Amino acid sequence: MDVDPGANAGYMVAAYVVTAVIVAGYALVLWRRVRKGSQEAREPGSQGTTGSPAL
Amino acid sequence: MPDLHAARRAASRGLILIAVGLAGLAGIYILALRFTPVERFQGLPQKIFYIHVPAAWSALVAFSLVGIASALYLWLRDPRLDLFAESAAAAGLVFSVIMLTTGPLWGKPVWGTWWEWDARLTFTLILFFLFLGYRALRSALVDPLERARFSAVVGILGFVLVPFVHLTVYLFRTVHPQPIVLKPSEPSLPWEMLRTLLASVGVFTVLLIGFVATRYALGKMEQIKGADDGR
Amino acid sequence: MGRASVGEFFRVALAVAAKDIRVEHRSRTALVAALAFAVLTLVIFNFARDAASLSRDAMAPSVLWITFAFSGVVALNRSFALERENAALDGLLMAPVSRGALFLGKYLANLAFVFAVEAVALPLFVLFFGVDIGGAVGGVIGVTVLATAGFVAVGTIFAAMTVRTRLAELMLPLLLLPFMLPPVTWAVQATARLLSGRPAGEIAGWIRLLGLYDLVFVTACLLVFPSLMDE
Repeated sequence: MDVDPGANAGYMVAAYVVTAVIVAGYALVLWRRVRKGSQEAREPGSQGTTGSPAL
Repeated sequence: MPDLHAARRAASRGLILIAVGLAGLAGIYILALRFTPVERFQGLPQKIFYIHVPAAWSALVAFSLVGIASALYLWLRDPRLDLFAESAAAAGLVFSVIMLTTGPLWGKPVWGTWWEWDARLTFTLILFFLFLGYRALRSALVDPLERARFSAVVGILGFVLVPFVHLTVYLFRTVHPQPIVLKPSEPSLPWEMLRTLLASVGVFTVLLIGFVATRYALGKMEQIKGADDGR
Repeated sequence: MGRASVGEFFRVALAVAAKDIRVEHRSRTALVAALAFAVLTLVIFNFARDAASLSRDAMAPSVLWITFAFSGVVALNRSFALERENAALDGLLMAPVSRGALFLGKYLANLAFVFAVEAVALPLFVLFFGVDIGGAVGGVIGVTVLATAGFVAVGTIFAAMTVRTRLAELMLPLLLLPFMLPPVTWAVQATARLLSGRPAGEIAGWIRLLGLYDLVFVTACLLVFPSLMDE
């Protein structure tokens, strides 16, 4: 029996939105870290030492 | 410092690849939502399939990369392999979180429950815990050599574990949709759905490569700067 | 490898195991803690169960294995803690012993601990849950030995790693959980069938899986253990 195509649209929307947020969010995190790394490199001696970045 | 410039350029390239992936993801959204037929029995939630499966694919690939890099590290002791494993594990964690969130969102309307202890969802959870444990262990260890060795051991053992979890999939009767694409005979998906799925897998692969490459370059940058400061 | 060194290998392993068991026997803290935990778990399950809704028989195998799994982790946690407290591990490492023999010794000692806990927990379980174990005793013991041998191998590796970290008591279960899932779930399946008197043919498959898991992981752990003990 065919299901009403409009039903349960909320779940689909939620999944698509959550995925976009997670992917874009991680991309943003990486982008900001790269930018931070590039800027600090231009100021000699300002960079403290780090271990591996957390994420 | 030439090395630092090279690393920064590599990071920028990685970011560009991620941007391409993001654009691709938008394209997939449009493709899946507007240009792919609605599945008869599950309705709209079935479209989560085009996100969930490629995310699972990327998570599994990332996990394999961690396993292989870990084994190679223990053999060759090249710190770049350790950095690569760390980068792949970070990306894998991201994709397994996507799996874990989209899975129940798909399951609830289609099966009636948010969670089923069926083999495939359990596999998702195991993968997530393996990635999480890998990261937790790394952040708990201070000495870089010890951290590299120990997390390599976890990476290898986790990689060995996966086939056993996969075996369990076929031993339990499961609520999860049966594999319809990777059957030995021809796939039973209609073409429009298959092409959307394959396109999405491509996009998620691009995202995976972008994430790993950027994270790797970032790690290199931090290492070089740490070395520059006389540590 | 000459016959002399194979004999030496096992002699060293047994010596290490004997030492660990002797040390634990004197202080008995790990054993007592794990036993108390097992008893507590059984008692709680007995009282928490709503007699009307869930039959004892349905729950029994799961309860047994939850008890075994948790108390096993408690026992494992303590095993390397003793070393850390006494800084005995460094002394061991300075001796010219094969790393593999060292692992085997630790593994055997941990097995002895966990088996001891299970040997007490099983009769208590039969008692508290009124399980008609009858002729299935041999089978249940066999399944228990096989499954335990699997996760204790991986647990020995992780205990060696996490003893050096902060939050060690949390890290060990986190890392070990994915590796316990396959053997424990198979053991529950096999135990359930044994207790309900299913024919041996149905159970053989699970036994084979457990055996395969043991073989693969004991080998893998033997191979990676030396990397943990590098200088």
